[in-house]
Amino acid sequence: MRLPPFAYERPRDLYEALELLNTFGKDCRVLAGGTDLLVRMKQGLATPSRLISLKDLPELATINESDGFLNIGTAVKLADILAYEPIQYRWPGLLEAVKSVGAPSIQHFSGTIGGNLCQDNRCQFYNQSKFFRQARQTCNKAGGNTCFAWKGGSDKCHSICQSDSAPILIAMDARITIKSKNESRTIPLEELYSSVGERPLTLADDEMLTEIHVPGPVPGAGCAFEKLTYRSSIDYAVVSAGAYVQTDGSKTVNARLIIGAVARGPLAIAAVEKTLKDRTAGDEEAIDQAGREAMNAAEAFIANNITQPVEYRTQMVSVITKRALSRATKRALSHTDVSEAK
Amino acid sequence: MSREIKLMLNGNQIFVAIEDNWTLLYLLREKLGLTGVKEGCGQGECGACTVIVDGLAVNSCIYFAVEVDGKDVLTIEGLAAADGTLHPLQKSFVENGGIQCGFCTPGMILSAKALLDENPQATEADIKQALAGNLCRCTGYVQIVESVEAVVDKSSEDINVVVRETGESG
Repeated sequence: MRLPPFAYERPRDLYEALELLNTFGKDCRVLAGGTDLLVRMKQGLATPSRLISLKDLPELATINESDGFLNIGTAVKLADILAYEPIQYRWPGLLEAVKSVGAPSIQHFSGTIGGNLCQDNRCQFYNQSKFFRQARQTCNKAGGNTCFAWKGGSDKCHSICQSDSAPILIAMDARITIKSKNESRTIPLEELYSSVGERPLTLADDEMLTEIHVPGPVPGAGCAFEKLTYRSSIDYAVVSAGAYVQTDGSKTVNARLIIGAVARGPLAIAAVEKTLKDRTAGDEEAIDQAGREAMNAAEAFIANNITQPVEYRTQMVSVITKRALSRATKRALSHTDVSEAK
Repeated sequence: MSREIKLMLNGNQIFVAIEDNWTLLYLLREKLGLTGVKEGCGQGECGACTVIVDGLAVNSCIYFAVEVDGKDVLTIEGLAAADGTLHPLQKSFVENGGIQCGFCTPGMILSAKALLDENPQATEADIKQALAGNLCRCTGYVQIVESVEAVVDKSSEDINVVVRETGESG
């Protein structure tokens, strides 16, 4: 498969990159690694006339810790996150999510954290070759007005957000910095996602995600990421879940659960916090109940947008939720003192 | 846009004029005739196009040719010695039945080489992890993992056979 023609820009500093983004707006795309963008360009789904590469911007490729936050530049390669040693015992949920993306050959070079968060939504009827797509009407996401994934059709796009790092980072309450030529803002990560299938990110045409800020672990809290796939590598999730559980040593005091790969954006299940709060940490009945609630909440969003049947994915939301919550709780109970944890 | 890049390719420094929209796969296979680099899916899923860039196994189908400027690239063509003596990994794949149709083999061998260069004492789990991005539809993977393990078991002197002169990159 050949790529259509485009101009490749390699700015030397962030200012130059933002300047280019400001000048060319929606005619250009930011290129971090290319795992998602390059394939969509080959399929004719993205047709930028210009790519702005972040590969010469070392300021976007650093990992550091400051003021209790883990700060990850948008162009940091997934392999570099895995190699950052403190992540092993301080942010194990993030480690699980990053490890599950692609395979080592992708994590080395083309898989970046910013790219993973900013990848476009996917659907089995959309992410296909031109030839495949020509056999049907144009769908909502491609500029038409029908949806093949939603039973009976729909005037909205029902593609799904397949980012693996988003559910766990949102569960961990991560924040992101977004920059444009004239402005810089730091917002909670969940605000990056619009839950609109046609345009899943809230970024303006001249804006770029530059940094991710992950809060450090607190004593008594734990997180975990769970992903169901058919193959153990290079596979998108059937269902994924990021869980954060905080305990006071015996009772759950706070919990967050985000389900990935079922809705147009990462799906926060608010009922789970209410269910688990003030219950004994690790209580199986409470976790079972949380699983059912997650399944009920997710059911309304699941469309036929990947090859696995809708009914199966719905049931699996409960299973994956329970696994993620159980593991996060286990970690929370064993990490009562983070300074000693190793 | 057309531009000239410089790279070390299988031990030889080359200058080549490329277009911005060329992938590394297109440059190697279609323009330089290195047909050991295969195009399977073209989407970074199958690993048939794997080459080693600066010591790391990468998918050349989702790697822009312009980004290889100044780097050191190794394809399967550069693995055997000039007189045709096979690299221990190649020999092992032949001897242990790691090859059936052969389409995935260059990618498998290069992924395995990148692993063994970094960790000559790789365990079975390390090998499976390193080959996770390479699909094979014939062997069922058992013989492939055995082929790599057979090289690990040999003396380290044997593994580190220098089959090519590595020049300076950049």
